[in-house]
Amino acid sequence: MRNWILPTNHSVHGEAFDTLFLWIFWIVVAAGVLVHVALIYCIVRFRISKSPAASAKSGSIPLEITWTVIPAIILAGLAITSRSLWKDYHTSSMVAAEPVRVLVIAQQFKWHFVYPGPDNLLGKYLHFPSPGDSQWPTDSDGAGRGFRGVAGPAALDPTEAEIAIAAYVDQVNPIGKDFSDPAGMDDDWQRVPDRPMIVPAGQIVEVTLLSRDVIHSFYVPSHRLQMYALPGSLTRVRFQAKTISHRREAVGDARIDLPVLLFDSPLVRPFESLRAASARLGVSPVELRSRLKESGVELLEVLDTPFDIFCNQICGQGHYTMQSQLIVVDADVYARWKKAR
Amino acid sequence: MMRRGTVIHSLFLETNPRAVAARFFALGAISFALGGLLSLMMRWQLAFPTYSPQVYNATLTMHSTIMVFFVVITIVFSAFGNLLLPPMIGASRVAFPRLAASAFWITVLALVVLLGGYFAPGGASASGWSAYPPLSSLSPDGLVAQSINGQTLWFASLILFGLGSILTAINLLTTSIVFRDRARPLFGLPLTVWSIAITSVLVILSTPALIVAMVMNLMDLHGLSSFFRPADWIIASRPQPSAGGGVGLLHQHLFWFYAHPAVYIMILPAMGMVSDILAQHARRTIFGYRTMVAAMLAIALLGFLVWGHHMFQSGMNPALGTGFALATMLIAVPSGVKTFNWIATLAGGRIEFTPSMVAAIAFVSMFVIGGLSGIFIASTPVDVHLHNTYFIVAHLHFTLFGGSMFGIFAGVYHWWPALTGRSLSVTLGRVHVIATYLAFTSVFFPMHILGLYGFPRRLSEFTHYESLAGFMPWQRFMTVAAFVLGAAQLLLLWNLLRSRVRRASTGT
Repeated sequence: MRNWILPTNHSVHGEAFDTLFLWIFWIVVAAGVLVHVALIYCIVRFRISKSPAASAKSGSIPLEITWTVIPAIILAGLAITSRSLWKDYHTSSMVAAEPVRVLVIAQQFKWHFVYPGPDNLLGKYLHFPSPGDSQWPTDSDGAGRGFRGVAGPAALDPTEAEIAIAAYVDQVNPIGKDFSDPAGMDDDWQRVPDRPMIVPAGQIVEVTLLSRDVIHSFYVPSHRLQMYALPGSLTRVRFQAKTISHRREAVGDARIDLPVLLFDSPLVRPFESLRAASARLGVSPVELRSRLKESGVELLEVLDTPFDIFCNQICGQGHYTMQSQLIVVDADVYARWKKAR
Repeated sequence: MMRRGTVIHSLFLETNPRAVAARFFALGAISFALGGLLSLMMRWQLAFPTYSPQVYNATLTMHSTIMVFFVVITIVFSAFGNLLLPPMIGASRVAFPRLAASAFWITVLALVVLLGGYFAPGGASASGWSAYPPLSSLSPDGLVAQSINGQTLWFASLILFGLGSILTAINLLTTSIVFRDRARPLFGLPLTVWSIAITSVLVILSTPALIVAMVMNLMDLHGLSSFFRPADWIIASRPQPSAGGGVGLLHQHLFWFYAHPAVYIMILPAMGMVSDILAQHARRTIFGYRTMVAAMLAIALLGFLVWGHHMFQSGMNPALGTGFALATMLIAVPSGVKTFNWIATLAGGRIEFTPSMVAAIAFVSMFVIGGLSGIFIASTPVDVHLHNTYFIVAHLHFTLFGGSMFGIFAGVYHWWPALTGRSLSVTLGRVHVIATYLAFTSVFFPMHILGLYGFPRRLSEFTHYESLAGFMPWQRFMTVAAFVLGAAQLLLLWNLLRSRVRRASTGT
């Protein structure tokens, strides 16, 4: 029943949420059917041609009390159950000493995923240059070369400063990373986000959400997960994924049109399908398979069940394109992925 | 030119509440046509992607804004209130006739200002009728506002509308208290009277929050303040100035503090009219009169305590979520009580299937479905999955169209003869109501299923998502049904026009 009405749930907390949903579902269906049966009965039985005299009964206190108290008890029960699940979801049952952390920074119209390094601490983000700064922020990886040694925005006139800051944000630092923050030195982030969100199965994941511009909503229906990403404040939500997104297949038989989770091979890029890799290399898929075998790869993790991430709060014209994927991996793949970062 | 009896006088200076009501009905009808056309554009886009995302976003914003304010609140409260309250309480006059009359022209100005958005730079407002900043602190084309734009006009329109509705409410409430014929006992007045009086209180207490929110947003939009603009705000890679940084959630609290009672503003008068119509056309008194009054009072009171349920997933303090969820679950109790009383009124009655009765029965059916779907989303955990999906769209349409609009249909069929001295075709009326019921259900019931799947609302092109593209047959079905729904309303229009053209005696 639950899978017929709801999409399959892939998170730990989602089980209890779906159970509550089903309780509500049956209560609501029963009430709805009851009301409609009563309505239809009345309009048939008491139509004027079949009803010689109208009842003079103007009310019934016992009846009023009954149909006030019983629904109130049922609804209060639902409210109390909702409360305890809600409290769990936000506080107690998802406490882990060291959760797996992911920072999601939403912007019009893409999702950035930032992973902490070995220290499992996330740095500071969304710090942007302002027109009054006398220096450009220093960054650790040299991409700000064009801005190093150059006088800060304060030295420019206001219009030029605005254009220069926009260039800096676009080319160097779209998520406003604070490079001087030690906790963020080892964070894994991208200038141009082009990767899905990767989390390990069976571990508590703590998602911190920020937004660069307007309110977005991080929505993963498969995991009963939703939380707004707000500009100017951060939100947090935790979950634990149950189902992995990949299936192990032998190199010789692996499906060629699905992305492959290989992070350390010169032949196939991360999330590239075998067909795309072979096209890129200019070889046939058969040739690619044998080259992979030669390089020692016998088994491939084929990504066959990615989970949709939607933006679920209207955020502008590109709202309908603001899509990404959640990839849940097993411990093995997760370790390899962390190593490759 | 200004003398009594001239067109100028009757249009602008006539303060007779029936005339004011007639004007509000006309405004509501025109707005219904406009809002309906916009909804057909939306349905067209979903079935056959044609429009740019900005046009779609603007269409959905304007559709909901027009329907909520200029159709439902205007007709159910301002039109029916001015029409029905004075005679039902035996009032010799209304308290503030010129205030009431000016409320109409303020509302017209509000609509003109709103529609002016289509001619403004950037086009009409496109941030949804809930206008969450910081998106609504930008011009509708997504850029920083340089001048008056469609969003400016949207905010200004609602300030005007809010003012007009408060003036109407002040007039109706004062009239009901001061000018009630004391020979008519309080607990003998039609439930319509109670519903209008209680709704007036809701309007007076909640609308200031809307006006305040709109003023604050207007100022933010034009860079005069940072009530909702965050610190470190980047739009199109350019940092935007915001002194000190604001909190977007504040808008949501202010807006929903109004907008939740607003849905009770929209439903209570419909409930009052349906109660009176069911009783009359079942040829008996309403079952449980005093309980019905108490239930309306309970709905009004609880209605002020539930606004946070629109914000469960917004990052609000989860402890707050609990309080709002409890109040939201409990508000189903008085609504349920009213439903049972309506059924008990039909039981033992002598039911005559006039168009107004058919519409009233359809109201009960659809309002119940809408109310029951609300129980899912009242549960905070279940709402995690359903918030901002098509499930919400289904819920709101079953309550506002299935509920309020059908209450309006019932009222129109019932009181048209009293307003105009003409009668309406019974057959045409029944066909209109039943066709609307069936077409409406075809459009909106499937949305429950889409929402349960996790189908987000406000997506201008859902086919962008592989997992959603398979729903195209459903969307096309709903679009066809929507056009049938639109066409069915022409039956009502024809019925109304026909009655004016032919001289018919007032039968009922």
